[in-house]
Amino acid sequence: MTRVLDQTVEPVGRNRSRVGRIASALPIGVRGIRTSTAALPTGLSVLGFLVLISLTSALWTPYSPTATGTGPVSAAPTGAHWFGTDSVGSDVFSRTVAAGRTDVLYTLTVVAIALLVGSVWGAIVGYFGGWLEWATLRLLEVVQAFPALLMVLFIISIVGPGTINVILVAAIIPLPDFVRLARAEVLTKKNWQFAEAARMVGNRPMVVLFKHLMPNSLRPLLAYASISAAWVVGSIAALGYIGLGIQPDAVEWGSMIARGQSDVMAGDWWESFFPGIGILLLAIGFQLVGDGLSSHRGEER
Amino acid sequence: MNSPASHRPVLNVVGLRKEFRVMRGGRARTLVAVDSVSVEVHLGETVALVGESGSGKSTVARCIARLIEPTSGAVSVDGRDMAGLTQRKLSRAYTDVQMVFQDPHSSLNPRMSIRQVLAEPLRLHTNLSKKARDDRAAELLSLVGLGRQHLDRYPSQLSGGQRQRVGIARAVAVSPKVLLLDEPTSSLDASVRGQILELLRDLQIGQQLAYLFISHDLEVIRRISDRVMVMYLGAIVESGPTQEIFARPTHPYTKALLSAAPHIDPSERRERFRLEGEIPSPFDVGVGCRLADRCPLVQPSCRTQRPAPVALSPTHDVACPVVLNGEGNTAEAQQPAPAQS
Amino acid sequence: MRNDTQILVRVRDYAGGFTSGSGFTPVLDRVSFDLRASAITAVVGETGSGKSLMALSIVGLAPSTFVRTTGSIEFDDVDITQFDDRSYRRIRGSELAMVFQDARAALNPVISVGAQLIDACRAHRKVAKAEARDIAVEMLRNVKVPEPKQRMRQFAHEFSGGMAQRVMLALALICEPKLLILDEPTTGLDVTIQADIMEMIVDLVLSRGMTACLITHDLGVVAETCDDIVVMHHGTVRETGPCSQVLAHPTDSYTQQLLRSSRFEEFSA
Repeated sequence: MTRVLDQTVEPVGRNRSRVGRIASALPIGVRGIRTSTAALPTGLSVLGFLVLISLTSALWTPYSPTATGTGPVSAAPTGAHWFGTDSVGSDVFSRTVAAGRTDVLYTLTVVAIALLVGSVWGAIVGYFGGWLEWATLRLLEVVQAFPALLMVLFIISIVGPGTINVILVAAIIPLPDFVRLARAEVLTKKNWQFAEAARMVGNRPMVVLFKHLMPNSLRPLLAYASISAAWVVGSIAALGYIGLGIQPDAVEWGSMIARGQSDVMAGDWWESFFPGIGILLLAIGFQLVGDGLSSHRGEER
Repeated sequence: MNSPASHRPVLNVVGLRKEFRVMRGGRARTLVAVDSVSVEVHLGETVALVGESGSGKSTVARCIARLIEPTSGAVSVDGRDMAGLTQRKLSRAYTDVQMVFQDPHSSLNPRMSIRQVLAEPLRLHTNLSKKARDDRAAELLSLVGLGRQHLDRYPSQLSGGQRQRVGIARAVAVSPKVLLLDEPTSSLDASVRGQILELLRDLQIGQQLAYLFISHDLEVIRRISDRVMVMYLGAIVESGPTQEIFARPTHPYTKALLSAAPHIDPSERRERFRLEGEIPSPFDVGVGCRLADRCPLVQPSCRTQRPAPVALSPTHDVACPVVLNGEGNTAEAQQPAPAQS
Repeated sequence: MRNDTQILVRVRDYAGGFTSGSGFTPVLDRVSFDLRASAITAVVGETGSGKSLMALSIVGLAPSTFVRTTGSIEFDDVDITQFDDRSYRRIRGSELAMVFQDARAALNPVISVGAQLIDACRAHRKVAKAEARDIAVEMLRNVKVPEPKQRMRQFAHEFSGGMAQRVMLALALICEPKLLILDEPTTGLDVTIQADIMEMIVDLVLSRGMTACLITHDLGVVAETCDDIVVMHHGTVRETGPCSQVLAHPTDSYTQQLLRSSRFEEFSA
């Protein structure tokens, strides 16, 4: 049994990076997210950089991403066209940066949906149990039995293309993991005495669950969200690559890779290469953030 | 304590039973954590539930509060039946019965300031304005011996003793009549324990509270409770006034328990009354007396019949026919009471 | 009454603290005490007194963030203050051994209990495996684990708290060390089991003429089992002496306070 010091305890010199300090200034949900490893700041920098340049791309890229004939066709990278040009003369650099916007937005939306829906569902199921829990677990087992990407492709081929469809269907993949994670968090913490106390104080069970329990599980959920985002980046790009759901000529990294594929065979590597780097960097960024969030230092008791 | 109003118990538990269905070795088995427990507590009175691990004492408290749903039995607080209440009505019933938890670390939400912790029950159960709630929160803090400066602190900035005081303040914020205290001092250092007990006693006198005090610590129980109920593997084996139980422990388990506790002063030590082996798995509770496999006084009838509590005196119940019939009157069974009680 | 005044362990002016990113926090301050040979010495204190840290320092298991600033520890007239891990490994088990608080956590969960005992035995004595097994079974019998032969094959999680503690004791004693340090060996166990185990510890220690150091916060246990006592508070030693004397007539104010609290004297029924 742990025994407790009886003097006023002041936390000894907290090790906080600058990002950690900023993060802990944010309102109650994010309070307590601290880190002392380099992963989180690095990841956030990478992500921040990519998000910034892609979201503002319309303002500063030298050419419009859809403009054709901006230069010689299929030209290798030069001073005028940093990433070269593609088979219709569009500037690959401008396209790559602009495509980032599509991938980033799709990914963030998919993860946000999976996170919110999954967490709420998993939390309720974990807290109240019963037949709802049993049915949920069986449903998750069925969904997760199928190879993820194939299932997405299959469903898209049925419901048809379109931004909303793609996003909703792609959200199905990470969703079960969020449900499980939220459920596990609630199962472990619901017997902690402050959860019991929150009920004794007079809060209704739903309030105990969402106002008291879940905020204490924010960190693992966000960590997992970030890591699954890394995977979602790949699947969005894969959809674009196959041309399912996302138009083949869309300004999107996967589509760009597909379009430049035949040129690669001819030796013109740049149209597929740079979008690929984009996917890689975005995935790494998410991975680092997730990693940084899940290292458990700085958790206060 | 003996005012006319306290004739009717403010906490009345009758035949409380809690079963858990657990998967063990591939099969679903039933664990009886609480078996037919009845307790009465009056205003201003402290009744202690004492036992070791597996006794079910904490489960009893949680069943009374309906943090766990009892399998069967009747629980009423201030005349109101707790069992049939909807979740919403139950929330309101928590103005009559409250709980103080064991672990000062985990019983306060780490993300809430002390002010928020104390204001929450006020917000949920009263119509006080924010300013009034804040004032009341400060009042509650001073009631438990803490200064106003703690209001804006977080649990991690408080010591264990201070956190426990906050937990107590939270529990009495809505002026309940019954307090369920689940090992409130077990996680605290010796130096702090006395202070907390004193606080609890003062509060009880000041507000005429009824305490159900759960603990495994005999020394604490001896000093704070009026009546003691000894539990073993889910059942009450002996109950009576504290002084009586400590002076004349009758049930073999009570004797074993009291004689095992170490004492600084040699005059308080008792001759060891030994039980065989260890507390068995709660799944293997057979038909007869739970203690049968370990009891030095065991008779064949002990294994076939579950002993019922019998009154040794109007206030003292013992569930052991062997001892009551005087069959156990060997030198072992005679427990010399310690010089000081 | 014991007549021999041979000292097995001498701690002299031992001081140190924890280093972290934000600097140095002193934790032990000029700790000095003796462990009398063939006696049981209690080191008592509340949380934060440094008693566990001192014990860990004696066996060389203090955390890496702990740095000694001054002082020495002598074991059997040998200065072990500067011992590195390799030197400690030679004496751990055979000369000194430690029993920790949470037995099931301290035992290896994936190796059978018997294997751990056999390994410990063979680490310090040149015996064949078969003989080591017999020694292990005998040890389990000594600590009163029922059906020791069958229990050898079981794993830590299959033992109850009390049983696991007995196993850990067997593990510590199997190489017949001169010094046994026990860090809160019965905290968290039920009262009846606590009494059984303490009795057994005293029995084993006395019958082997071992020296024992019991770290605890429970003065009742100390009064009933120990010969000498060392009272620690905030990293310093406040009082030492024979148990009977210190507990009956404490001279230090903290000791007096501790006794008062343990007797609930401030809270009179």
